[in-house]
Amino acid sequence: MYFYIYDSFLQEKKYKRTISKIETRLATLDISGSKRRLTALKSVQEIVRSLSKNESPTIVVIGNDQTFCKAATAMAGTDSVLGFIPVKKDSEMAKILGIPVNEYACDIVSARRVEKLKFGEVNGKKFFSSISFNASKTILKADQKYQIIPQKTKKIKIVNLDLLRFNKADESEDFKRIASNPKDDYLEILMGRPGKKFLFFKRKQELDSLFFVEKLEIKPKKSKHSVDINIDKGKDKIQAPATVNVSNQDISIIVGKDRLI
Amino acid sequence: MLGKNQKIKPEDAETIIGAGVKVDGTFTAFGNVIVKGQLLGSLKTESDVSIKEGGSVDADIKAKNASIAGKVDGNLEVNQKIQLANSAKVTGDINCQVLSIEEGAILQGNCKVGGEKNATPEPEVETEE
Repeated sequence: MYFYIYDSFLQEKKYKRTISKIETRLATLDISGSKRRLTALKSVQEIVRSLSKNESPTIVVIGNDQTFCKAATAMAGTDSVLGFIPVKKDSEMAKILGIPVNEYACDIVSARRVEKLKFGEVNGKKFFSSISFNASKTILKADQKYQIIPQKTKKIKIVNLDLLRFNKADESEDFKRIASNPKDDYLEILMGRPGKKFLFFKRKQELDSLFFVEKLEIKPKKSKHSVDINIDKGKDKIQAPATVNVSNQDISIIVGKDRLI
Repeated sequence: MLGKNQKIKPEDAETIIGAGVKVDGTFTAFGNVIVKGQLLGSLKTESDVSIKEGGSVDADIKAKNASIAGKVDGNLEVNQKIQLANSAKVTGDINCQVLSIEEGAILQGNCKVGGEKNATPEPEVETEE
């Protein structure tokens, strides 16, 4: 049984045509299903938990990366399968999973090529894509063996499933890996200075360091420092000290042929 | 869109210690290691180590190959080849199969180049009579 979760921003008039094309394509492929809409009162986590009670459902998120990541973490450890129809052209998850945007993604959902992917955990809270925080006030202890002390680095990103860069600026030539590997027992630590745009001037990102760790402790340099850890590029935050590791739960995700993982 | 063949296997993965980062402790990697920053403690990998100009390592190093353009203060035990660039400054003993030194490189320490690979002695077996 297919269930489709529509992101709340899709109620805007400009998406009406896109949604109509997606629904037509789903009907043509004979994979139409039950619809759920996100509202201010209904979170994606609530909807996913109630749908997961059905027998082996296929839950498809129509929306953006943040909603897809929230749905994924809510589905951890269930036997549900998660699909994604991205409607934002700059979707990084779409690029990593090899899914085209809008109605073209329906064919990927229909082909149903499934991969099992892992989660990351920060203080027991799951994340699907990455967590990030300011580097200047933190010390990292990796795998109980060595400390990583940022000195001129501005930002740290710990990646489970994401592109190994901070934003859309060009990649450093040292970084041969394009995306992380969410199927192994390692998380990638990416450090550097993110790119910025000032009116007509664009500062390139500077990727400095890349490490692979199984377990990581994030500590503030001084007890008076407060370090906010941002989860999955959304509004969820937790405070350091924190322990980060790979979760032992996984999720089945529908991917495309051109995936980067 | 980028092809699937562009992903890299874990053993090929490169750990990069950037110029703005200091690492302190027992550092063990499963792929190549590039050092542009500072490393204290020990460094061990089954692949290659590259210490770039400006990089500084105050540690014993064990690796398959080593290419050094920065500063090393520690012993190097390398299975195959060590390359010292003209900006390299090494203080410590070197043990490898092949050593290449560019004009201008500084090396202070004992060198053991060539000889048997894996020259570790066979363990003695005690027999009861």
